[in-house]
Amino acid sequence: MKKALTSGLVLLILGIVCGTVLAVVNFFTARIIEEREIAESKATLAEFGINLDEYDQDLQKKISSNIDKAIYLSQNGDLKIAVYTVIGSGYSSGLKMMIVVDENMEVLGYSVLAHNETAGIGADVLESHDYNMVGAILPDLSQFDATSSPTAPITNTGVRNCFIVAGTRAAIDFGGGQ
Amino acid sequence: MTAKENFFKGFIKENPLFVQVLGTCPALAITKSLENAIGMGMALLFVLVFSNLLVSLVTVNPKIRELVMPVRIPVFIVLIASLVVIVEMVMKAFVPVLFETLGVFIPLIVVNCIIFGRAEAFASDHKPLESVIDGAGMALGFTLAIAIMSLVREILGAGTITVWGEAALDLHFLYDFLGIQPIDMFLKPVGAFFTFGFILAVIAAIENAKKAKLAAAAVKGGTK
Repeated sequence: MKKALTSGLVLLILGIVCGTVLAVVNFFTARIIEEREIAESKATLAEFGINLDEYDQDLQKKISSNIDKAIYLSQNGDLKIAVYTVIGSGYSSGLKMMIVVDENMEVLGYSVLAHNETAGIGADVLESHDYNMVGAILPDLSQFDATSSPTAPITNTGVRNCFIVAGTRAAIDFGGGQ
Repeated sequence: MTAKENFFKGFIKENPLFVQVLGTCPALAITKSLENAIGMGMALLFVLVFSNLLVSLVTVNPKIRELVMPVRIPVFIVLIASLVVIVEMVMKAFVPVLFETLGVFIPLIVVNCIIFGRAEAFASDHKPLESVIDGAGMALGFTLAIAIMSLVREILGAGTITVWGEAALDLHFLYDFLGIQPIDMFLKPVGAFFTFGFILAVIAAIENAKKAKLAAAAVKGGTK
């Protein structure tokens, strides 16, 4: 009994010490990571003609399993633009897209941020489409359908799924849902 | 064993990858470019040196050792995991591209056989300085091994050598001169297995040749 308690105490002390060290490291790195992420978002959104400085920003992370983060841009308390970073599954996992939707439910722009598609197959499909669209109206989802490309149907389905996830979330956000 | 021998044993004689065949998962997965190998090697160097140091520190004092040894496995895991999380946070903050590229293999350093193996087999029975030297030697030996693998794969598969970021050496002129193309297979998993197998075969052949030479010398000595 005494041995078990001692062992538990050793692990507890170790856990507290390690936790404290990690908290200190996190204190220094978290700010740098967040600043970099915001700078990256700013740069991408600038391509879509959106100046983040004109809006009040609210960054929310891990909204759902498919939405890695969302930046809500408001003016005078009204939600104007939502920027979703959506994760979908193409042929390989890790298809990450940024999709920008405005209050009229129009897609202002979208961009493939990262993908693990096979070089020469899925990657070619992603690169053959202009996936860095600016000022696009919500694209016809059928263009991402399995039938649109015989070479990498799953890649296209992944892109389509990203739009469906972003669209559904935008309907909730701009419709006032939770 | 001298400090020099302790340091250099991980490079060839007890190389973690090519001789002990440890840490093969990251070695096969991330050796698509030299840059990845260097990044992974540096991450492993930090974790291995400090895990060896910490494990040695908590086991060198007989009284603390008595407390720690019954629960040494979870203690080692907590120490190693904490160091890996530190590496993760620092890499995400300062080298995000490399962090994304190495992906899941950074958190998987926690269960890397080399680190746990050195903690259990060496650091828990040696003084802190010896453990640090052992950790540095083993990590650099592993880095050397994955650098060799990545050099072979990148040169044959992509025709480049990516040292760091934009610093890359384009060897396509060589391919143009020979009138051939890089072999894409070497950048795929099958290429990793092929390269690893080939290097192990070369090492085994050298070892066998050495043994045969020694055996021949022994027979010759015996007949005299």
